[in-house]
Amino acid sequence: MLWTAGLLGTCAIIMAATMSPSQFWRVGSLFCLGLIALAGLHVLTGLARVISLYHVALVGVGAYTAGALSLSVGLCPILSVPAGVLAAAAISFVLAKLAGSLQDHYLTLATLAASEILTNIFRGATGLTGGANGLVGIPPLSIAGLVLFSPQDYFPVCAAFAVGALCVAWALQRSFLGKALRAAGDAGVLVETLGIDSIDLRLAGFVIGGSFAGLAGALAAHVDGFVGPESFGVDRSMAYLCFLVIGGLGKLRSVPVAAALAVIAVEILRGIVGWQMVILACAAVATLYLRSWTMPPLFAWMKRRLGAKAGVA
Amino acid sequence: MLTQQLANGLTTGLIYSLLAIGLVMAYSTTKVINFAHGELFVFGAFIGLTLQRQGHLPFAVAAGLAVLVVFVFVGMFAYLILWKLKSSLERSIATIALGLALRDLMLVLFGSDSESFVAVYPGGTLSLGTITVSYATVLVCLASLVLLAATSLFVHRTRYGIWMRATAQNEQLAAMAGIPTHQVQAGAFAGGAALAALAGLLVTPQWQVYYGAGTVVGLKAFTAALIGGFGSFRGALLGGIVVGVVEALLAGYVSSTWKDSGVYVFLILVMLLMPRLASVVRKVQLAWERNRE
Repeated sequence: MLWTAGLLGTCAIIMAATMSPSQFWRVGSLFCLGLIALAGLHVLTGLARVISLYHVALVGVGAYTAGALSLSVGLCPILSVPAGVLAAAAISFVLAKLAGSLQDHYLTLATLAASEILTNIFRGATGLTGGANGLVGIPPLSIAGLVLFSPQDYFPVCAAFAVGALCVAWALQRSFLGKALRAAGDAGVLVETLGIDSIDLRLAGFVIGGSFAGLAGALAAHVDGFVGPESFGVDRSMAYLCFLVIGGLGKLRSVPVAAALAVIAVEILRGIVGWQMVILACAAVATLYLRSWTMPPLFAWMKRRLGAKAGVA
Repeated sequence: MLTQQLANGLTTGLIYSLLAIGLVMAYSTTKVINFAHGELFVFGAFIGLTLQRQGHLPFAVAAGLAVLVVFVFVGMFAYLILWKLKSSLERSIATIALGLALRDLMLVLFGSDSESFVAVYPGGTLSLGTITVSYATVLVCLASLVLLAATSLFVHRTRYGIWMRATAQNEQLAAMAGIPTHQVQAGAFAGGAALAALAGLLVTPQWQVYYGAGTVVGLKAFTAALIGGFGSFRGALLGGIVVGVVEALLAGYVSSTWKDSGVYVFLILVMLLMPRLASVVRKVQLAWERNRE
C-alpha cells in the first residue's frame, strides 16, 4: 500500500508541475471517477473471479440515465445520480439473474453480448440517447443551489465519492460477503457445501459492481456535460480488465493503480501516442506470465547463492 | 424476397461456420476460448492486404503468407505464454488482452479506414429463379465448404488430427500414450486462429474491414459455436448457418440497425435454453431407444 501511495503521489506531483491548475483538477476528477468504476470491477473480477466485459457499458447506462433524466425531466443532480446508479444496478441484476447458472466462459460471453447490445442501444435509440451525437448540455453538479462548474469545484465531490468507494471495497473484502465471494470464485462447489448459495452470492457481486459503475457514469455525465456512445465500447471494458491485472488482480491496491493507468492511457496520451494500449495489454499478459512463476524456488536459489558467497567471504 | 434473404443468410452463415469451427477446434483441444478470434479474423485480412499492396504479391500468395504469419504468431503465444498460466481465468484474460493489443496495433499500423482487396473475384451475378447471387459470393461459399471439408478430414483422418482428438478426450492419457500434448494443443489453438484469418482473407474482397470489426464478427462466431454445442464440427456448421439466416431475416424484415443486437439476444437465449433443450432432446432419444428395445 505504501509503494502504491508513493507511486501515485509521484505521478500527482509530476502532473501538478506540468499542467495548469484547472487541467490538473480535471485529470484528478477523472482519476476519481475511474477509481469508482474500477472498484466495481474489482468486486466482480478481483473477488468473485467473474470476467465482466460489460462494465464500461454499465458506466454508460449510468451516464445516459442521469443525462437523459436531467435533460428531459429536469431532474436535479441529487436525484439523477441515484437514478443512474439504480439503472445500472437493475441492468446488472437482470443479466446476473438471467445468466445465473452459466459457468465461467459462458458467463463472459453473455457479458460480451450484453455490452454489444447496450452499445447498440446507445447508438441506435436516437430518441432516448441522441444517437451518434450523444447528449449535449447536461447541467453540472449542484448541491443546494451551489453550482459546481469548474474542475476545482467538482474535484472534492469526486474525491469524496472515490474515497467512499475505496472504503466500501475495503470493508467488503474484510466482510463475510467479500470472503464468501472470493471463496466462491476459487471453489464454488466447496462454498455450496457450506450452505451458501453461490449463484445468489454472484448476484450480489454483480449488483454491487453494477452500482459502482452506474455511480461513476452518472457523476461523469454531470462533470463532462456530455455523453457520447464512443466512450463505452467493449474495448474499454477489456482495457479496464488489463489495468486491474497489471495492478494485481484481487488486491485492493489494483484499483488506484488501474485508475491511474486508465487516466494516463486514455485521457492524457490519447491522440499523442497510439501505442500505449498495445504496450499496456502486453504488460497485462506479462504480469500474468510472471505471476505464474513460483516464488519459493527462486527464493531458495537466491538463498543458496547468497549463502555460498557468505561462506566464501 | 424470402428466398433471397435466406440465400444471403446462407452465404454469410458459411463464413460464420468457418470461424466457429476454428473456435471449436481450439476449445475442444485446449479448453480455452480464444476471445481474440474476431480480432485475428481482421488481423489476417490486414496482413494479407499489406503484403499485397507493399509487396506487390498476387492475392493467393499474400493470403497464404498471412495465414502462415497468424498461425506461427498464435502458436508461439499459446506455447510460450498461454500454457504457462495456471487458471482458466488467467488464460481467458490473456486472450482478451491479446485481442485488445491486436486491435490497437491495427489502429496504429493501418489507421481507422475501412479497407478491402480490389477486384480479386470475377464480377457478374448468377440468377437462379428469383434469387440473384454474385459469382464472388458463390466462390466464397464454395471455398468455405471446401475448407470445412478439409478441416474435418484433417481432424478425422490424419495422425495429427487423431492426436488432437485424443488430447481433447483425455489429456493425461494422451500424454501417457506418447502424444506431445502441449505441442498438439498449441497447434490446435493456432490452427483455429489460422482458420479465422483464412475466413477474413476470403471475405475481404467483398466485405470492408476496419480495425474494430473483430468484436462483432467474433461474437457471431461464438454464437454459432454455442448453437452447435461448442464441441462438434457439424454443430458449428449448422450454428453458423442459423446465425447467418437469423441475421439476414432480421435485417430484411425488422431493421438493419438492430440486426446485430437481435443476434446477441439470440445468443443469450440460446445459452439459457440450450441445457433444457439438450435435456429434452436426450429424453426423447432415450424414450425412443427404450421403445425400440
